[in-house]
Amino acid sequence: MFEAVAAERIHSAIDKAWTADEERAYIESLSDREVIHVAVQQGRIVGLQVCDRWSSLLPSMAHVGQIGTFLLPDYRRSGLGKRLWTATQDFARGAGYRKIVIQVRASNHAAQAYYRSLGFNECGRLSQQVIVDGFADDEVLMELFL
Amino acid sequence: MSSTNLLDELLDPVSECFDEASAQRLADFRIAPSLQNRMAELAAQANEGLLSPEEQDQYEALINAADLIAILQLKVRKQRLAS
Repeated sequence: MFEAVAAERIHSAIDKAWTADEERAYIESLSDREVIHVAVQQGRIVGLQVCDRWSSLLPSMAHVGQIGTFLLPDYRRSGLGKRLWTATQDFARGAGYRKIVIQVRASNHAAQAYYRSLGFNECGRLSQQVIVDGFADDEVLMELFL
Repeated sequence: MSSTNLLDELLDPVSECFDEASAQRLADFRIAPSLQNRMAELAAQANEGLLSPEEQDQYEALINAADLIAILQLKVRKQRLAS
């Protein structure tokens, strides 16, 4: 799935798909306060949403989680993102998070609209935070209090 | 040829049409809050599968136009950094 996301070049900060070993290592590193929800259609993963800690080191930020959402192009704007968020939001509340933060590429207006539709508000901007193929893009910071 | 390469072929010459002041204005361009709110409204309806065909067309048109502007912005910024 990440190969398709990375190939788009403008929507995500992911510019190179992870290997199976890298994905396995990441999944195994998740704590019980972190989760990956997947959307499956006809036996194929077509989308996923990751929820993990904003900081794994600072107890003062233990109440802050961050998410990332990835959907294959043909499955966007179909309601799957909302269904993933419903599951993630329930998990996040149960895991003790009080707010969720998302970083989304400034060029990805569809994703910003998606997060705004969920109640996220823009709260900052990181200039030239992503460089893909030599193109520097900002990242928009958005937050939602649970 | 991939769609990305085709878009590059189409937009690279366009991105070179701007003088310095215009390029800066394009690089700094932000979508108006009212339009951002409209896109979020349409996204919320899409989340629930409630978009009418007309709204679906409007949403797709807005997203496609915003993507096009974003690609041009990235290209212009890259040229400005290189110059």
